[in-house]
Order: sequence, then structure tokens, then C-alpha cells
Amino acid sequence: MELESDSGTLSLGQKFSLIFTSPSRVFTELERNHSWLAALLVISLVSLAATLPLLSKIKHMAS
Amino acid sequence: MQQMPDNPALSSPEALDMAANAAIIGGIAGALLTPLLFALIVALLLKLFNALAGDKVPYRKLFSVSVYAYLPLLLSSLIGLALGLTTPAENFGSISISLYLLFPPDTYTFPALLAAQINPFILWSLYLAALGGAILMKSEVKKVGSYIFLLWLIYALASSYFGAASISNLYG
Repeated sequence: MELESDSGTLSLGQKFSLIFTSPSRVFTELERNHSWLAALLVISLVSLAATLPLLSKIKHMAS
Repeated sequence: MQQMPDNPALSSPEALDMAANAAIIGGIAGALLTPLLFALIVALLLKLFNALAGDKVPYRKLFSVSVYAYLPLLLSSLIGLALGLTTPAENFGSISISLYLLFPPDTYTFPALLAAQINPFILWSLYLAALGGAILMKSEVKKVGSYIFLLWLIYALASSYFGAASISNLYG
């Protein structure tokens, strides 16, 4: 697989979008700068936000 | 098809309320912890591969790859949310983005549980983990991908088998 090279640093938003379109570029960037905390926090919060409406629907059904 | 019978323990409103509270606490904990657990486990598996092949890469770099590899699964959660909001809560059991769609809701046989594991988003996430691991380890994507896929297949087969067996024991 051909790797794209990029000397610039990708922002978190760019990494999140490029992981779907050009994942090699994100991973090449991670080789230089392996920051993960902000990404993990955003992923966990979005995951929670995607779950809460369904849980409240279950709670509403039970009550 | 073996289907789960109605649970008599949930017939009272109090029991139903307790079950709903347990589901909510479990759902919140799962939503927060699943991305972390996925990243920890996948990075550990990549590190085990790295012990035998490729350039040596620190665990924290493989962990960062695994965090970003979770994004397709996050996308599947958002699709699940969209489906859930447009589906009555009584029919949540019928919501699936895996091959479990081919089975009637609340079917817990081995093929049904195995089909529930075959989700394009998990395969996409595993592919990304293999791709990222291969780039960092300067190894072939095919080798890392085969290793990750084989381990996932063993997990899927074992969890489906034991899941179906334990449900069969519970409900006869």
C-alpha cells in the first residue's frame, strides 16, 4: 500500500475525517506524534452521547 | 430456532424498573469503557505480534493506532442511535447492523450469535488496526491483518459457542 507523506501536523478533526478516507496518512502521522488522549476522550464522549438517548427511551418504556 | 421466553422475574413494575436502571448503568459504563478496552486489547495483540516480527514499536504508539482504529465502531454507534430513535423501544431487539439481521429477534442459537459478531464496522476497525500496526512496524498489512482476523475469528466462534451453550442451559 502506498503511503502518503505529509510534513505538516494533522489536527484532531483532520485525523478523524482522514481515518475514513486516507488512514495511511493518519497512521504515518501517529508514527511521528502518537497523541491519543484527546482522541480517546472525544470518542468516549460521542459514544456516551450516542447511547444516552436510547437508554432514556428504555427508562421511559419501563416507567 | 431457540428464542428467549418471557422472563417471569420481570413481571412486576419494581423488577422492570430495576432491570431498566441496571441497563442504563451498564449502558453508560459500556459506552465510556468500550473504546478504552478495545484500544488496550488491540494494542496488546499488536504488541504480541511485534514481539515476533517487524521493527520494534512502543506499546503507546500501537495504543494510539488502536484508538483511531475504533472510529468505524463509533460510526456504527451513531448509526445504531439513528436506528434506535426511529424504532419503538419494544423493538430494540430487532435493531442490528450485523448479519444477525438474517435471524428473528431474540434468537440465541450458535449461528445467530456468530452472525451477531459479523459486523462490517468491527471488520473495518480491525483492518485499520492491522494497517496502522503494519505501518508502524514496517511489516506487511496482509500478515498483520491475517493475525488480527484469525484472533477475532477464534474469539467470535468461542464467545458464540459458549454464549449459546449458557443460554441453552438457562432456558433448557
